[in-house]
Amino acid sequence: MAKKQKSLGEIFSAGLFKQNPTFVQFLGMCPTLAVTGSVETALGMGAGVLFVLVMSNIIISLIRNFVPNEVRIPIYIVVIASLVTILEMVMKAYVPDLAADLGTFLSLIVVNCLILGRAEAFASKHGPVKSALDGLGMSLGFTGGITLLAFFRELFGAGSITIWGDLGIQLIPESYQMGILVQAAGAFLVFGILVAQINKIKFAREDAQSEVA
Amino acid sequence: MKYVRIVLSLMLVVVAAMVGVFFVEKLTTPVIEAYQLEQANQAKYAVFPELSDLTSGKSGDEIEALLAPEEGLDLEGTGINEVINLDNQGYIYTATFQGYQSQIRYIMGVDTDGNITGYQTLEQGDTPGLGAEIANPDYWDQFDGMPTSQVMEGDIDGISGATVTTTGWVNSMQKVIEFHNVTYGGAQSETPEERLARLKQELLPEGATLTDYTPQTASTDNTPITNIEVVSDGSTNTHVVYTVEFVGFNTDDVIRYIIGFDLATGETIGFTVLYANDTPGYGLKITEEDRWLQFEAGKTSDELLNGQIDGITGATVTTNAWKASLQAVSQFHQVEFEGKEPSLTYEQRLEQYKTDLFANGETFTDVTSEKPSHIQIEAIYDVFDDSDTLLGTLYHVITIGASYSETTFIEYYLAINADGTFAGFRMLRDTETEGRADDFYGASYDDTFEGADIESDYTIDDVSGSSITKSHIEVSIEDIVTYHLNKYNVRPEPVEVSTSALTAAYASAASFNSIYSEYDFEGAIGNIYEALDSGGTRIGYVYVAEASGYGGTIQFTWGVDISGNTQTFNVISSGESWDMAEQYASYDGSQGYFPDTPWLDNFEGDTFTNILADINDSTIDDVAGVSTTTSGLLDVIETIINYHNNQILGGSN
Repeated sequence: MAKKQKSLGEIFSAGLFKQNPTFVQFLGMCPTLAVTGSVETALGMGAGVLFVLVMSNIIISLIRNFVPNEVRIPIYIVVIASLVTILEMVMKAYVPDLAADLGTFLSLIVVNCLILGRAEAFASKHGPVKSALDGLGMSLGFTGGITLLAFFRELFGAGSITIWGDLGIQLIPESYQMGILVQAAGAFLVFGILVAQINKIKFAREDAQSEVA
Repeated sequence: MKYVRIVLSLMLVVVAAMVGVFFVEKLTTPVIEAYQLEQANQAKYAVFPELSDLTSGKSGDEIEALLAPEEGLDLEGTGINEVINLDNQGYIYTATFQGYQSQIRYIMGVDTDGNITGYQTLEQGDTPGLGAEIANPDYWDQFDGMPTSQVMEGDIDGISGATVTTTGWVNSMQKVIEFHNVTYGGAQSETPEERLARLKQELLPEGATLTDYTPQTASTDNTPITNIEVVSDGSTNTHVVYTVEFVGFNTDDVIRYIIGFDLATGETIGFTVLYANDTPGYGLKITEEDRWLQFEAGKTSDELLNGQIDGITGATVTTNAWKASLQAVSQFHQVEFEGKEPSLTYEQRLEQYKTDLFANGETFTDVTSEKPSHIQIEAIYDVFDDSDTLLGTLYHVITIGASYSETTFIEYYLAINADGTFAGFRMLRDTETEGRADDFYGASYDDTFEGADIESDYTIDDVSGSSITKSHIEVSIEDIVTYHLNKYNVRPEPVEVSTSALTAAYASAASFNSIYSEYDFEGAIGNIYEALDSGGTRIGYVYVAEASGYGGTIQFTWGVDISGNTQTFNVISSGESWDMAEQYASYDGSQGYFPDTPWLDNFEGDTFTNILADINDSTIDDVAGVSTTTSGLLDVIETIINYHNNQILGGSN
C-alpha cells in the first residue's frame, strides 16, 4: 500500500498532539524531568530545543541525499552537537542567567533522543520545508509538554508562577504548597498524573472511534 | 570508492560544523568573558556602575611602590588592597581596616569628578548589632554620589554604639581618599573651600554675596568665632554668617559649624555643621540636619544666650559645649550687631558676681569641703580683702524652682557680710518656665535687703507673675541663713574665766585647758575647758555659759565628768534678785535666794541624761515668780546637755 502523503498542516500538528514527544512518544525524558521545576526554565529549554531541532532537521534534510547510510548517525550527531554548542555559546553570551539555570541540561540537548529521533525518523526522509515544519511542531509540542508539567509543579510546589522575574504573584499560600513537587520526585508524580489524564482522554476518543467504526 | 565517499562526507560535515562553531565562538566569546568578569567583580560593578574595563588594577607591592615617593602621606590605619584605575572614568579601591573585633574589607568607587560612586563592605566579623552593622546596605547607600570632600570632613552617618569601628572606618576612608587625591591628583567635585562657600550660600537668600567683616565694637578674642562674614545691600549689612569652632566630647578634635543671622529680624536663618568628629550615635548627632532646623525656624540671640536650644540626648558634654559656643556667639552678636550692652554667660556671671557682691574681695577661698554639706549649697567661699581680713561668705545655691509639671532649678549667689548682714543676691541661672524668672536677673534685683541683718526681718522683692519662684527663693535664702547662723557664723573668742571659777565648778580637777576651738560654736556656750587631774589625764569638762536672766546676764561654770556626772553649778556673776519669788507660795525664801538657791542643786551630783529627762518631763521646772531667770537657765542647760551629747560625748569621745 502506497503511503499516503501527509499535508504540511498534519506534519506540523502531529508533534503538537498526536505524536506529542513528551506525553505520547516519551522522548527527551531527561530534560523533561530535570528542568520543569519552573515555567521559566521549561520555556528556556523549549526554546533551545526548538532552535536545535528545527535547524538540525533542516540541515539533515538538506544533506540527506549525500550522507552515506553507514555513517549517517555520526554525521547527525556532529550536526546536532555543533548546533548545541552554538546555542550554548549564544545563550551564555546573551541570556547568561537562563543559561546558568539550565546548566548542564543545555549541553545535554545533544543527547536528547527527540532530536536524533526526528533526524532519523523524519528529516532523513523528507524535504527541508517539511522537515522544518516537523521540527517546529515537535519542538513546540515538547515545549508545551514540559511547560505544562512545569506549570503544575511550580504552581502547586512554589505557589506562584515567575517568568523573567516580573510575574511573581503568590497564588497559593505557603502553608498549602507541596514542596515535594519542585523537587525531582515531584517531576515523576506530576508527569505520571498528566500522562494518565492524557491517556484517559486519548483512549476514550479511540473507543468512541472504534464504536462508530 | 564507497569508503572514500564515507570518509569525505564525514570530513566535510565535520569541517563545516567546525567553521560554523568557530564563527559563533568568535562572536560570543568577548560577551561571555565580559559577563564572567562581571560576575567575578560584582562588587566592583556595584560600586562603579559605569565600569567597562577592569584591566588596569594595581595591588600589593605596586601600591607600596606607588606610595613610596609621596611625602607626608600617612596611610596608617588602613591597608589599600587594590586600586583599579579606570581610564577617564574613575578609580575603584579595595581597602582594609581594623574594626572593633575584626579586619573589615570594603570597596568603593570614586569617579573623576571626585564623587563616590558606591560603597560596599566585603568582609567583616564585628559584633552583631554594633560593628557588624557596617555590612548593612542601609549604611552603604549614603555614599552614593557623596563628594569625597564630605568624607574628609567626617560628615557621614556612623554606627551608633560602635565608636571604634566607625572611627576606624571613617579614618580609613579618609586615608584612601587622601591617597587618591595625592596619587591621582584626585579631581574633587568641590574643594573644601567650594563646599564651605556652598554651605554658606545655602544659609543665605539667593544671590547674596558674603564679604569678610571686621568687628567694630566687640572682640572675637576668647570666643569660639573663627570667621565673620556679612551680606550688605550696599549701605547696611543685612545678614551675618559666623564660623565657629568648639570642642565637644572628643577633646582631640573640634566641631566646626556656621550660623547665620538675619540682621533685620534679629533671628537665626540657619545652622550647618561643617566638620565633626564626635562619638557616633551621641555627639556626632550634631551633624543631623533635623537638629539644624530649629535655627532655620529662627532663634533670637537671647534664646541662644540662655541656651534655649534642643540639644543632643545622651551627649551632655557636647551639648553643653555647643550651647556655650552659641552663647559666646550670641554675646558677640548682641554687642556688635544689636547694639546691646555686653551680656554675661553663666560662667562669666559666676566670676563677675563674686566681685559685684564683694567689691573689695581679693581672694575667694572655696571652703565647701570644710563645711557641713547642705543639699542646696553648691559651694561656699570665704571672701578676704587684700589684707586678708574676712569680708564675708558667699554661698552658691541651687534650689528647686516653681514649675509644677517638671523639676526646675534656680541657681543664685547669696552673700553675707562678716558682720551678719546681707551683702547681696545675684541670680545665676534657672530652668524655670521660659521668661518667668527673667526679672530676677541683674544687679537691680534684689538690693532691698542688702545691709539688712540676716537675723532680723527682711523682705525680698516681688516679681509680677513669678510669685512662686520668688517664694522658693525666699525660703531658700532662709535656709541658707539658718545654715549660716548655725554652722558658719564667725565665732567670737572663747570667754576666759578665772581658774577659781573653774575649780569651783570642778573641785577635783588639778588644771584646766580650753578646748572650745576643737568643737562647733554654740551661741549660749562661751567656752569649754577640759578638766585634768594632777597626772594630766582628762577627767571631765567645764562649760562656761551665759543665760539671759531677769536682772541681766547670768554667767556660770558647770562641771561634768567624762561619764556625764555633773559636778558643781557655779554662778560667777548675776544681777538676779529673786525677790519676786517670795511672793509665791512655791518659794518661801527659807531655801535661799539666787545664786544660793537649792533649785540650782538640781543640776549638781546628777547625770546629764537624768537632768535632760527631768527638764523634759517638768520634774525640774522653772520657779514661779522668777520664771525669766529659771526658764532662761533651763534653756541654756538643755542646750549644753544636747551640745555635750552631740559634740563631746557623741563626737570625739
